[in-house]
Amino acid sequence: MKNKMMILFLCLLLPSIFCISKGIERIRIILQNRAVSSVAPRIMEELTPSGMVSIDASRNALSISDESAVVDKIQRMISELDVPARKFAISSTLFVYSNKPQSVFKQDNKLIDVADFLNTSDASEKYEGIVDIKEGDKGEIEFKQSPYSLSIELGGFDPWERKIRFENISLKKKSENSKVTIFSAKANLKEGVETVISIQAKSPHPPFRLNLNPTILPEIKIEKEHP
Amino acid sequence: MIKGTLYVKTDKEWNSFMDRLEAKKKKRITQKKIRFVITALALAVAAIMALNLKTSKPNYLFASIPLKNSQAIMVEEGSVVEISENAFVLNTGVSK
Repeated sequence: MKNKMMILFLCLLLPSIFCISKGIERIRIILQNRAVSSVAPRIMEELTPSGMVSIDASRNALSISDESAVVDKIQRMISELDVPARKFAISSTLFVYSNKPQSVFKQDNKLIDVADFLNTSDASEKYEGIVDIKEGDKGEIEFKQSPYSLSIELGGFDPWERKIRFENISLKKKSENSKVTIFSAKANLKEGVETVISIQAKSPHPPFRLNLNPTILPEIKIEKEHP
Repeated sequence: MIKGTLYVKTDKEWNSFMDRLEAKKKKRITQKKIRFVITALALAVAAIMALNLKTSKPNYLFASIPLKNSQAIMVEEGSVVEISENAFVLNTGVSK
């Protein structure tokens, strides 16, 4: 009986000593604004091999156990991630190369060809547009006086890597009764940096160049003036 | 012939009898009131719980955060070629 009690005692004591010696800390955080499943994969990237994250979706809570320095970092991360949806201005410029010979986009040596093409050629048409979208929302840029439009669905923003998730970017062209999708993509783009996307010609569409620049907008708080 | 005397309650006896009767009546009314209050409270609690169940799940924002080393652009058809930082070529089909 005494031996059994001793074994039980050691079983409880040894893991605690192991955790204390490694400086393992455990915290539980309930998120107020974001769904825990949208934040957890990014948090898991910060863990050490001995770290662990468990999710309680019904209470929208995260339990994290890891070395205390990592736990502190994750706590800081969550305080910046768990905020109401941020707003972004997505500015875009569309270049259409309808009069350019499409042979510059040959499959072989495409890197050299396209790089040359981007640096040297002039577009026959150029359209600009901008739209404000919140994280998790959808929006559309209608390029004025053109048959083209750009549909955007935003994901979340990583404030450390300054990357914004685009769940969908679709370039569409209006035809008689409907819109034809020219290309559709998902992307993780740098905030405040212009990204250039060159779209190969695909019959019947000409080659395009799409410049996208997502910029975070400051939150404007309007305070009521007292009379 | 039946002989007997008619028992008549004295005023004192009669009053104590009436008092007991009155006390019983009061007790019955109080019990009814308590039962009514308990039923009303139970209904109110049930109604509050039902309302809470409906509104207990707040709508949290689902917006997945991009992973550190995730690919910059992914296209549904074809492939992506990076020619320099933040410049990409989408091979969406066969060029002619």
